[in-house]
Amino acid sequence: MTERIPASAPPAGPSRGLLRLLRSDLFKLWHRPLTWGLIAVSLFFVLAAFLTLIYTVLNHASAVLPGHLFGGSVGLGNIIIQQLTLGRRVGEFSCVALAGAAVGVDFSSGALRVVLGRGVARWQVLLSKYLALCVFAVFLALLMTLEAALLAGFLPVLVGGAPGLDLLSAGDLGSILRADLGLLENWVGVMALGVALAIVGRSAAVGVGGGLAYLIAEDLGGRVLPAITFETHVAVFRELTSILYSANLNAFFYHSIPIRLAAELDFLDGVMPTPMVGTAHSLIVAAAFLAALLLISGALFARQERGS
Amino acid sequence: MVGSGNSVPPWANIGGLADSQTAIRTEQLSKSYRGKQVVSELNLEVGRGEIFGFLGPNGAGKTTTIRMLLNLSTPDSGSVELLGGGSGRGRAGVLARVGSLVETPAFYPYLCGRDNLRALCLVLGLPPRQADRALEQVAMSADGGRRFSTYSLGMKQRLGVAAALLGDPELLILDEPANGLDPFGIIQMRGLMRELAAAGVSVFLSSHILAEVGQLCDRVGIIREGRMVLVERVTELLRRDASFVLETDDPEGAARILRDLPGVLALSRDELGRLRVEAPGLQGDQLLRPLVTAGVSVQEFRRHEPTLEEIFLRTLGANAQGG
Repeated sequence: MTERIPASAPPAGPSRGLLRLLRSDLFKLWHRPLTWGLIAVSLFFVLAAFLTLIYTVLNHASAVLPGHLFGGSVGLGNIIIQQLTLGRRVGEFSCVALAGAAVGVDFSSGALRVVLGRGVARWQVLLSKYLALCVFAVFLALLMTLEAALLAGFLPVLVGGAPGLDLLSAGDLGSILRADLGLLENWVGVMALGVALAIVGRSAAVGVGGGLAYLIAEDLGGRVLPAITFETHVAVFRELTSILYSANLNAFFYHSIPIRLAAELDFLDGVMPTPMVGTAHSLIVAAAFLAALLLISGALFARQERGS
Repeated sequence: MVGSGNSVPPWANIGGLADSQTAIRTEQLSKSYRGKQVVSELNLEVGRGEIFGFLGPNGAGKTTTIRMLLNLSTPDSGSVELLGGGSGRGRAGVLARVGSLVETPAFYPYLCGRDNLRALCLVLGLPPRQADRALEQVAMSADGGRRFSTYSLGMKQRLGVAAALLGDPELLILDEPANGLDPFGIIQMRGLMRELAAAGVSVFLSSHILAEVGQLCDRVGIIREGRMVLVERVTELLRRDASFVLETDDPEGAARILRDLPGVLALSRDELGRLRVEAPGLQGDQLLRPLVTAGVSVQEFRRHEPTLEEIFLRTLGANAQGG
């Protein structure tokens, strides 16, 4: 005889159901090798940024002197944020890949219908995915910042006169926190892109591949299109380029890091600097971009035949 | 064994059951895809504690029906009622008490079997130990730590059933649960279904393994081109369609006598030259006595109960000819 345990949990209310789904999604991310692989790659690039920094400082010893980029009262903050700048770019690729994979696998494996077949609402499923990915983004930002700070602590050992962690000030912490916000704004945006593409294509491959392709295309387009439109001397092309690339994915981040680092952004991570729009403008554009992606993906997700 | 062990189960005279006795009820359920009618005005009632076999050829509408039962697909018209709960918002609460396996077992390939069940436990608000218990129920404890992507089809199927068992559902809806199982696994699954039914769980299963359905189910329904063409208790079906096999030196003489008997519906000859007599209302001695009296020498005379497979083929064949 089968043992009957009255184990069925009572039907959950919306918030409780969402919390259960979020725990399940975090559990799946935690146990997914891809998550840790992407974290490892992202952290490796922070290390690579640090090695580049050492190379630069060893060749330009004056860089760590007061008044220069990595010296004085703002030097330590700049050293940490310089590493995060390259980390952001890799994190961007990691986030879009994980977002596409996390949502796409529900379609490709059919696991979505198991949850929906238990009466879970579709909006809860999608919202919990977004929330779990946001938790991942915060986790990755924290890990990167911690790594960058720890590596910065080694700099005085390698380069005499470089600022050490003992000089960490409230101003440095504020700068680092602002840079982290810039990372998160950027990553949340690209994750929404990865999720939307996975829903449109109903597969992880479309979410991951499409997301990565967009990021690469944006970088290339940012360099090639302005040159082309300049050559054509057509006003409408210039306007289009201005709309598409003056406030792109990188605009808010540009304003979230110290101005001297922002001026070097293109040199640091290959991203087109976007000095022509202000913080509010860039944030509004990012919010509009995010809202459009959430609306499109949400509407598509709700309309798709359940679990198919 | 047929039945769940109750002497008079509540679904014995199914038809117009009270809500408290009904596990599944559909009324005029219809669904079409791109202009093709897949399910058409389907009426179905499954009682609580009953094991119901849902049969039909490929493309008959079985999976579409199951998807509509589970709210995975929206009917064009008609209604679905599970465990006394109707459609709309109340349906979500009811579905929490329903375990299901639809189409192929669907899990995350990068997680092990146990973690897949634990992830589902978290969604359902169940303690993680339920995952271990479900694995035990389907004899998968030893393989629970292996990654799902390395499982054989039979193991995936067991895990799918284990997932359906999480939370001790009152109703199980299983689409081809025996698919890919070896004979040992099929026997285990049959035992599990019987135990669950004995404990009051209603089981609605579709299967292509008709011998299995015949042994396990209390009632069967046969669907063809989206329409239910037969619903009957298995014992009744087998008894009603029983025939007699007669081997004699004089088949023509025997046929002449039998044809004139009231209650004999049809006579035919099998490949060995034996007479097959279809006379559902008659007892064996009512056929045998006139033959003996007329001096016909009878070498063999026995009752033949058809298999569910024969009934299935006959029903679908007759339906095809009729429609």
